[in-house]
Amino acid sequence: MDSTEDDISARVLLRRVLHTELPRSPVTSSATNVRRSMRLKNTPGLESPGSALRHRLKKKLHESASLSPLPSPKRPRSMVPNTNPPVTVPSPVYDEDMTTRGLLRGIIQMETEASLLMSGQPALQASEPNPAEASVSSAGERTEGLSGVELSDLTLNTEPLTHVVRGLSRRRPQRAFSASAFEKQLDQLPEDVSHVSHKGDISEEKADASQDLDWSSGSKSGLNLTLKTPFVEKRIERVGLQRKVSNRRLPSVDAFDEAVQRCLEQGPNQDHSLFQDGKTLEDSSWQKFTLCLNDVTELYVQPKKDDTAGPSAEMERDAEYEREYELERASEIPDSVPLIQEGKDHELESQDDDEEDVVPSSQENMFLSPEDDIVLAPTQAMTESLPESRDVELQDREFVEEVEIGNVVEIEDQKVVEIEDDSIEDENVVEDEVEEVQDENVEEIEDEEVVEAEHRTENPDTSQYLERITRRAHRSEGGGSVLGIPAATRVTKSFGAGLNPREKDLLDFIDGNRDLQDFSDEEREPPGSPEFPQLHPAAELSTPEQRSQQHEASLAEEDVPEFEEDDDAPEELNQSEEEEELMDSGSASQSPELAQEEEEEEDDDDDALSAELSVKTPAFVRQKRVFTSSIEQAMPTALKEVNAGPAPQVAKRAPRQKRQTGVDVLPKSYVMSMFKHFAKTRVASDIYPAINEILKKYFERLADDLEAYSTHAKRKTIEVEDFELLMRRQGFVTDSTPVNILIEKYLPLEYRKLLIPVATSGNKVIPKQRR
Amino acid sequence: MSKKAPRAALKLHMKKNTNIRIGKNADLMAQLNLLVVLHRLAEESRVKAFEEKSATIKVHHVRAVAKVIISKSCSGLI
Repeated sequence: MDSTEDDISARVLLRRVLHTELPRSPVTSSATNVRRSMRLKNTPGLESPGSALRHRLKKKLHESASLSPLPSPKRPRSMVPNTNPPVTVPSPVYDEDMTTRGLLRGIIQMETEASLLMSGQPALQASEPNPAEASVSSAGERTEGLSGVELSDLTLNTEPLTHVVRGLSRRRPQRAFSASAFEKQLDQLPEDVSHVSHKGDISEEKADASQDLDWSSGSKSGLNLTLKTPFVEKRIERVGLQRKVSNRRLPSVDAFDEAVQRCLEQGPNQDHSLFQDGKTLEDSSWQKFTLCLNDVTELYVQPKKDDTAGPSAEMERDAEYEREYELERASEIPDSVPLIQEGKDHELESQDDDEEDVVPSSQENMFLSPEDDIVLAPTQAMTESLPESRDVELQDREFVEEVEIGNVVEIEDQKVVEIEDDSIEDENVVEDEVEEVQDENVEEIEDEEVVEAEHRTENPDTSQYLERITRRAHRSEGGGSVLGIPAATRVTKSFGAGLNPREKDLLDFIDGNRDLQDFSDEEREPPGSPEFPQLHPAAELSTPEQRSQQHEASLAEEDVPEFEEDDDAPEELNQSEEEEELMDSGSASQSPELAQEEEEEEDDDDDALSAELSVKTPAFVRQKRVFTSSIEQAMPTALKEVNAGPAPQVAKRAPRQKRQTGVDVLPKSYVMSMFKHFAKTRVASDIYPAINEILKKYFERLADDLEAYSTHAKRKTIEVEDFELLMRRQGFVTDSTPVNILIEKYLPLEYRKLLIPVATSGNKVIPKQRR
Repeated sequence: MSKKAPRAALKLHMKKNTNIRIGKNADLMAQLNLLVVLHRLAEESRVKAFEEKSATIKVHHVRAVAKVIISKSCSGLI
C-alpha cells in the first residue's frame, strides 16, 4: 500500500506545501522532527507552494534517510485534508501564495493519477495536485528509490506536474502566476511526485531537502517540458488516483468552462481572425486591418449603444469602413483576389459554422445581421432584406451561447451569407441567389452551405474579386461587430442600406442588364461583379460619410440625414431610395423578418427619407446613373481601378452583340486558366495566341474526323458516340479507361450531368445549373 | 477547377467548315476532348520547358509540341 500511500502522500505533500508557509529548516536529521515539522507545516496553513514543496521534499529526504516514511505520509494525509480547508497562508512569503496555493490545489485536483504513475515521475505529478500528500509520500519514496541520482525521473514526473499546474493555471487564467513561483511549485511538486511515484515507503520526510534539490533541478527541467496530460498517466497507474482525479476534475471543469467563456468573450474576434489568417496571408493582413478597424469601430460603437439595433448598425458601419478599406486594398491587390477569395470562402465557411453555432438571441441581432450583411458586402447587391432575413434566421439559430459573441457571429454569418450570395451572383447566378435568398429565409444554414459550395466551385474572376471584398468586410465586420455590438445598429443600417442600394444601383446601371430587375426582383442578388466594384466606391463614399455622421449623430435617423448631406444629393437619394427599394423588395420577397428589418431601417433612415425613397423610386434609375457618375468622380483612383477591373468585363457584355467567330477560338480566360491548371507551372501570358492557333487547327481536324465518323455510322449529326470513337482513336480512351471517367475527370459538374445522363437516362439539364 | 467552356463557341467551331449537324450535348464531348487535348498539350509543353530548364512555359515550347499533338490526335494512332 505504499504506493497508495505514496500517492496520497504526494497529494498530501502538495497540500502541505500549499498550506505550509516558509519551509522550516528542512535539514533535520531526525525523521520525526521532519515529520513534525511537516505536520506543523501543514497546520500553519499554506505557504508558498513552492517553498512548501521544497520543505516537504527535504523532510522526506530526511525521513527516508532516517525512518520509514509511512507514518509520515499518513499523517500528512490526515493533516492535509485538515490543513487544506484552512488554506490560510501563515507565511506571507508571497502574495502569490494564494495563487500558488490555488495552483497547487488545482494541481492536486488535476493530477491525482499522474502523481504516482511512475516510480519517480508520478510522484512528481501527484505532488502537484497533492502537494501535501504527494510531496510527503513521494519525497519519502523518492529518497528510497532515488538516491538523488534520479533526476531523470524527476523530469518525467515534473512533466505531468507541469501539466497539472498548467491546467490549473488554465482554470484560473486570471490569476497571475509568476513564473518563478510557478517553477518553485513545480520543483517541489515534481520532487514530491517523484517521491510519490516511488511507491517505496519513503517517509515523507525523507531526504526532502536532498530530493528537493534534485527534483527541483529535475522538475525544472520537467517544467521546461511540455506538460503531458497527467491524467493519462495517472489513470494508467492507479485506480485510486483515478477516482480522485475524476472528483477533482469536476471543479476544474467548471472553472475551465468559465475560463472558456471568458476566452470566448474576449477573443471571438481573434477566433475569426485566426480562421482568416489561416487562409491566406493576404487575408491575415486584412484581418489585421480589420482588427484595427474593429478598434476603431469600437469607438463608434460605444457611443451608440442606445439602440439594440444600434450596435448592429454601427457594426455595419464599421464593416462598411472596413469594406472600404478592403476595397481599396482590393484594388491594390487584384492578383491576390483568387487567393483571398479562396481564403474567404474558407473563412466564410468557418464563420458560418461559427455563426450557426451561435444562435441569435434577439431581433437586435437581426438588425445587426442585415446591417452587417449590407455593410459587409460592398457587393451587397443582396437586398437588405436578404441579409436581414438571413441574419435573422441565422441569428435565431445560432445566437445562443453568448450575446457578445453572438453579435459578432451574427454579423459574420450575415456577412458570410451575403458574401456567398454576392459571390454567387457574381458568378452570373442571379437566380440562384434569389433562390438562395428565399431559401435563406427558410433555411439559412442550408443556403449558406450551398452558397459556399457554389462559391467555392465557381470562382469567376469577378466573383472572386467581389468575394474578396466581401470577405474582407466580413472579417472586418466580424471583428467590428464584436466591438460594435453595443453600438447603434440603426445608424449603420441606414448607411449600410444606403450603400448597398446605391451600389446595387450603380452596378445595375453598369450592367444594364439587371438594373431594375435585380433590384426589384432580387434585390439580394448583386448585379454582378462589375457592380460590385462600383459598389465599393459607393461604399467608400458612403462610409466616409457615415463615419462623419457617426461621429456626429448617435441616432440612425440623424445619421441618415447627415449622410445625405455629406453625400451628394443624388447619391443620397439613390441610397435612400435604394435602401427603401431594398427594404421594400426585401420585405416583399422575404419573410417578415426582412420586413422588420426594413422597417427598422426605414425608421432609422427617417420618415422623410422613406418618403423620398418612395417618391423617387422612379427616379431611382436616373439616380443610378448619377451615382455612377458621381461615384466615379468621388471614387478615388483606387476604387476606379477596382471598378475598372470588373468594368471591362461588363463592357464586354454590352458590345458583345457582334461576335467575332473566327477571332477567338475560345475565351482567353478560359483557355489560359485551363492551360495553367494543366501545366502546373507558370505559363507565359503570350502563349494564348499560339494556343489559339493550335486549337483552331485542332478543331478543324476534329470536325472532319467527326463528320467522317457519323457518316460512317450513316448519321447526319455528330453524336456523342462519334466523340467516343474519336477519343479512343486518340488514345485517350482505352479499354481500361472508359469515357465516363474522362468525363468526370475533366468536365465540370453540370456538364457531367448532361453527358452521363445523356448516355444513360437522357435527362437534360441546362448546363449552367443554378442552385 | 473546372470551368465551363462556352458551348456555343465550341459548336461553332465544329460546324465551321462542314454542314454536318451537331447532336445534343455533343459539344460537351467536344469540350471534354478539348480539355483532354489541352491537358496533353500542356503536359508535353511543360516537359519541353523543363528540358530547357525554364520554369515557365514559353511559346516556343508549346509550338514545338503542338504539331506532334495534332498529328497524333488526328491520325488516330495510339
